[in-house]
Amino acid sequence: MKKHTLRGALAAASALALVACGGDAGTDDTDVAAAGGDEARWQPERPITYIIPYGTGGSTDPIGRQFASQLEEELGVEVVVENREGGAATIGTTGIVTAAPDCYTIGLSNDTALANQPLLNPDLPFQTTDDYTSLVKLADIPVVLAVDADAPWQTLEEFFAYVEENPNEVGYATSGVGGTPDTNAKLLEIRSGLELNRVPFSGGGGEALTAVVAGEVESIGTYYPSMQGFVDSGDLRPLGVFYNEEYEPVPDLPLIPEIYEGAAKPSAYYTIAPANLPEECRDTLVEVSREIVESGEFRAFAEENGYVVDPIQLEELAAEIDEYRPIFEELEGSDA
Amino acid sequence: MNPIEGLLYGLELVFTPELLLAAFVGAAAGTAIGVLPGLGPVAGAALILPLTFTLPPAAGLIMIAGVYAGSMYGGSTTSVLMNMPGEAASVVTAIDGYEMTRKGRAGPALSIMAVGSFIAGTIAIILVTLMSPIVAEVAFLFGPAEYLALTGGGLLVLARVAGGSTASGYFPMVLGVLLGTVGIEQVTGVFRYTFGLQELALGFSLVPVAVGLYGIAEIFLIMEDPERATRIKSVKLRELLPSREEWRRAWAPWGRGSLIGFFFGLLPGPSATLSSFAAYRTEQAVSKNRDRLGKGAVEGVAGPEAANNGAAVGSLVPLLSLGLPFSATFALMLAAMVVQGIQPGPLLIEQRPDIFWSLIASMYVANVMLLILNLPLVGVWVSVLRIPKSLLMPGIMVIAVIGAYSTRFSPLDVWVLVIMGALGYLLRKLDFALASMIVGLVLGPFIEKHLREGLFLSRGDFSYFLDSGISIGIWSVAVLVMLGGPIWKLVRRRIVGEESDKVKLEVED
Repeated sequence: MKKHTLRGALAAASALALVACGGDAGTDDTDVAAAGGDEARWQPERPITYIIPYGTGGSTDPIGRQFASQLEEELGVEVVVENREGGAATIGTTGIVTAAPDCYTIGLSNDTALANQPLLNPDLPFQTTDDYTSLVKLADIPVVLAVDADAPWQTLEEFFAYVEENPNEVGYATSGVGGTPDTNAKLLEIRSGLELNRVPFSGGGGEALTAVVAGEVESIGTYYPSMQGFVDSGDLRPLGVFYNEEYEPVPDLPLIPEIYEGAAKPSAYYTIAPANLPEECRDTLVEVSREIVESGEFRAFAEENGYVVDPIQLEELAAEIDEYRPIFEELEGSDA
Repeated sequence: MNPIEGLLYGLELVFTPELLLAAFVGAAAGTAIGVLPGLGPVAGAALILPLTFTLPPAAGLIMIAGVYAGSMYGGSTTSVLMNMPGEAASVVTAIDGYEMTRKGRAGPALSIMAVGSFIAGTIAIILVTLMSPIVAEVAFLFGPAEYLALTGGGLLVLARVAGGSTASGYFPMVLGVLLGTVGIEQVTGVFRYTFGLQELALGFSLVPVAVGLYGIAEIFLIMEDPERATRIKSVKLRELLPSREEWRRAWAPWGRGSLIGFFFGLLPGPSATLSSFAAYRTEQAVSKNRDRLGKGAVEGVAGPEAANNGAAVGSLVPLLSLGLPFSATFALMLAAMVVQGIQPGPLLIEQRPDIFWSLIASMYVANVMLLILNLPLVGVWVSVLRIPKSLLMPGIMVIAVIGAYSTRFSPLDVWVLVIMGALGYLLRKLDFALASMIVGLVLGPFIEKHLREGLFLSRGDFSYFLDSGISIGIWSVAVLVMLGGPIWKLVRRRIVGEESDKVKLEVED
């Protein structure tokens, strides 16, 4: 424990020194660990940059860091995580896609950045799945629909029945317009003809949750880990999940697409790289990424954080991203 | 476990060499980070966060707590010494802090800040310890209507924070609000007033605006009038410490500031900034020395500095008892907990009392560390003013540019810094209150957000905003404060006109 603290202290001091001189993190950090693995493997010679298109400490940051730290172990070189937030993840994703295709810059992206944003902005350098290498899908995370524990609805059927009779009356709090919780509700409205009063709380930081627990809004769509504390304490009642298969953290939860087909669009996270990577390093990255996502350590992390691991790669992954495009087109086109 | 036992238990957990070292490193790093403009509490905590992933949970959280408290303090140090607020919560401190420096009282100002932060931290921790379960629910009393009242009413009241005429406060406020509308609109994602500049999509960042308006404009003023700059020849211990009178005058503002800060800390939004402005405004209203505010009054430093630290500690309540991070720094703390496998939420205090209480104790330890670290450093900071102007001014300029650039690595921010410097110079020449512009820029986006949320909720019905006692109450207070002064003056003038001497004596009493 002492060792840890000291190491942290030193690292903090050096981080500060770097900040103070406005320097480039890690330039003189050359202690590359000994290489491991079989001989056919590509062996990087310098640190690899892993771009995360969200801020440090955001809800998406940990899964990227988990992957990066395991990548570091697997490849035996330092993997520097770079948080490039903003522009609905398009800024960081652009950084990955436009980096030199030498396997030294890869990063995290997600379904909305890759499948939805190109529809909105034709200038983005990633218009189709050919513009980047779809290394591996890390995980899905579905949206859970919950209501204030004091609300009268005990089951999903009761809730939907009420919404059907009282269109546009029941409030549904989300983290913002166009976010996955909002997208799922919109998809539900298109598929079912129901009408919710979607209330976007743009500030993040649990404001949507606060509003529901306080009784200000009747229902909420969000990811399970962030609502779990309130479910355990009896303040929120989960009614259903926007997912096509049983969701492990809450196995008994009814699946919304079983009632209204197609009303499910989980958030999905991918590790991608620039297109046209040299074959040797590409093959190694593909292999190593699969090993990481299938590893016990990654699965344990995913389970604890409500993620559903789904290690599809390359063409299969590109096909998934292509399948999401028409859904986003439909959502953009609808005025629900 | 009752609160007292809990706190003692937490202190017991925290008093290990490793954790004290972590608190020290955090406080030291935080102070250094805060002194650099552009790197405030959020940036500091974000820098430290990845390091904490490898530490035991308590050490990581303590380090972040230290960084937070340290950078708050560090940010105010530059406010006082160079009229260059490192972050928004330090803006009001610059008003009287820098005037104290110009009078050669930089040392006392910094001491008052350090001790005030410590006292506010202590008071707020006691309140957190004793009242956490009771006040946790305060956040649930506030919906969009109440927040709109708080931020909108707050804006109207706080725009007058620097005194002066009505126009001198409200004109810069409007400028600030206008600047705040630039960038991606939060609800629909429309690009507003970006004129095709991709970098403007994220809007005006506060740091280049604040550093430009204050720091760069100050350099222009000094260039124009070299006598303006303070040059300290020697730093004597006696001159570093506040005089007996200064101590005496600091007590009440410390207490008021701590309570104001703690209350704002319970709510989301820019609570540290809002509370520091509110504390200053309170001093204007109630302090016995209110006439001296703006001219280097101790009260103008003591109140806001106590408030921003009180708010920092107060924000622990929603974080720990509800698992809701109400500020960016605490979102990072939450991230640190989640990475460590700790799930914050209403049940944290039952499930992980060790984490709950050691975090509270760690805030306390971080505060003590800060005091130990910073009181001796006052002399060092004041010595900065001994550097000849010909070296100091270019140095400040360089640091300001680096600070502006490094918040998000955008060359545009350097231009913003320079333009704001020119604007700041102009506005100050014309006697406008710059602090109002910062309040506008900080609060404007929140006002819009709460208004939009409320309208979504009520499906466009404006009466929603006056549907609750709390929001009516807040709006009434705001209107009263805004109109009360002028009406009272008007009434007094009329009465004074009729039966002059008698009433005049009473009023002045």
